Amino acid sequence: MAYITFEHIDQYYGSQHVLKDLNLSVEKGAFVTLLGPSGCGKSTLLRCLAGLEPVSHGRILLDGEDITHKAPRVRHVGMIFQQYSLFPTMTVAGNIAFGLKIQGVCRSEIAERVREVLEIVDLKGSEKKYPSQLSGGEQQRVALCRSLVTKPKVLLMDEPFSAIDAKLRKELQTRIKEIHEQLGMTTLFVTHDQDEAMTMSDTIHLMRNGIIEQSASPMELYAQPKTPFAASFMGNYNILSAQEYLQLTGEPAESDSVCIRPELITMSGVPLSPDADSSVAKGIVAQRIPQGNTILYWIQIGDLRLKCYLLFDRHTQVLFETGEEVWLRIYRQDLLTYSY
Amino acid sequence: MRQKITGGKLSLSRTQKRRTQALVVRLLLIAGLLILWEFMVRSGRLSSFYTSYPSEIAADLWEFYTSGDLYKHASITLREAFTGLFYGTIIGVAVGVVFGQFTFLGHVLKPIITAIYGIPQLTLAPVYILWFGIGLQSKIFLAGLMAFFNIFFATYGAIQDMEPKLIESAHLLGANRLQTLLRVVLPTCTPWIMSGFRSALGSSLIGAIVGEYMGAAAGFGWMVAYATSYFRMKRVMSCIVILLLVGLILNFVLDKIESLLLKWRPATTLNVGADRESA
Repeated sequence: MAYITFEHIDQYYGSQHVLKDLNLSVEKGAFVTLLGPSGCGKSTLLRCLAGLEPVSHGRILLDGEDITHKAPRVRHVGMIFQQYSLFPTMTVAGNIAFGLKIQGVCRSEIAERVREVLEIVDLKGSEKKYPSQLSGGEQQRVALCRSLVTKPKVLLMDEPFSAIDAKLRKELQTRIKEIHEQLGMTTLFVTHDQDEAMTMSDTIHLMRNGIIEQSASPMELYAQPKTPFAASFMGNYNILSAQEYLQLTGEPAESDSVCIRPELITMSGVPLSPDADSSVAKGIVAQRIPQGNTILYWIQIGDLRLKCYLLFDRHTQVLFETGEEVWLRIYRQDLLTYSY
Repeated sequence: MRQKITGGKLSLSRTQKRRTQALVVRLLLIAGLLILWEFMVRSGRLSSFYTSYPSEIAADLWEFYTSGDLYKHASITLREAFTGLFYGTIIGVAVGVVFGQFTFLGHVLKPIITAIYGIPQLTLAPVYILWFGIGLQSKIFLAGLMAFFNIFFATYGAIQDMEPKLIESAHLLGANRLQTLLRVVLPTCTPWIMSGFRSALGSSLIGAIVGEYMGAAAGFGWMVAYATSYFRMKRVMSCIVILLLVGLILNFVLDKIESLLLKWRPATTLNVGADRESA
């Protein structure tokens, strides 16, 4: 039986239909990510579960209990926001102890539990500091402690790393994943960053316009996107219409839409010939964008632009220059096709 | 770590040095002005009839004190101001919170309160004396009303500007409305309420003194009006000096309370890089 269930959830902001007959279930102890572009309804769904937004229609069950119309304070849900939202007037220890004090937990137990969670996030010794004396990453870790210490039924994280720099973000992602594995707390994570979703999740629910476009494991979602939108959002695929595919390869497409993963295209500076398994297209390097371990090439083929990723190896890699002629080999087995 | 601590000590001693310098300059400036004032009157360039002069004012202050009048009038004026401040603060915070909680009520009533605030209270002082009589009540009402406006606008504004996610966080951690108000909302609004309180303190003193001008039998306002009518400029100046001292003392006390209540708030300066420049 699912631990969290959303049944036929509809949510309106005025005339705007934000969530559309949405159904979703989450198993106990899972780390689940709601992924999607801005305005797709992922944060709204999280806020509905927390009780911060009323549901226009439908039911939310948590641990077998209907919580649809319950106040946030009795749902036993922990939530971490993008902007930390620590109480500025309280010290780190005061912030973490807040929920326990409200629950009427005795002083000695509060002190013990605060110490425990601070140890988990490596913030021991910061008890007496105020939020204004902490860095963004430290504040977010305190916010995590504040939620964890009350032992909520589910932990909700609404784009918690958006305001944190890239290096620290990666460290926090790893730390939160470790904490999740250690505590086994059911976690719903909202992000618009596909890399973050891939790194952290057991399951990703890709959302678009208030519906769930695809639910799958990170690897499955990346390798087998069910729709062109999923392909473009998750894999950064090249998405071509049948007409564009014909223009690119000279071969007719057997579907309405063809998607090609940029890293599966082979690039060569010398002419290539098509064979039984692949087709070949000739183009010109329009742009070269170094991205650390990979290089993104934008290749102009007629009025089409294709993106290709090549692994950057400075010993063996031939770097193609802007304006250089290149030949692209596209294997038919790597194509994903979609018909409407 | 050591570097950080050393840096902290350095900046602390630099701050103390700067404060001492400011105090010395301030005292020298005041002493200079007093000497200049005394010289101008004694040399006949200024008439003592209009301005009195420092040594005469000092002598009058001593007489004011030894006669017991200073205590009598000060206690009346301060009682009016502080009682008004007390009620004005309580009601101002309460109304601000209620309007913050029930936003519709706020939308309906705030423009009315703003309109009343726009009326110069000086013009209404005679009305209040008519309503509440010549005794303490009319002055307390005026002082309280003037304090109320400052506190109300500060509290209501602070609640409206408050980060909603703080309130949401408190609810998610199990707090009810009252717990959220007392433990999160009001403490977070303290800087604005304190700022309003500082203005309210001045306003309540003004309210009490203006009330005494309009109709009273004692108090600093009455004393100033009385002394002016008999051209006793030294007594007028004595009253002004006392009010100045009262203001200084109250502000000093407020500074201390503020630094205690707002120790969580980082100090901000517009003078970016000032420490580096002076180093």
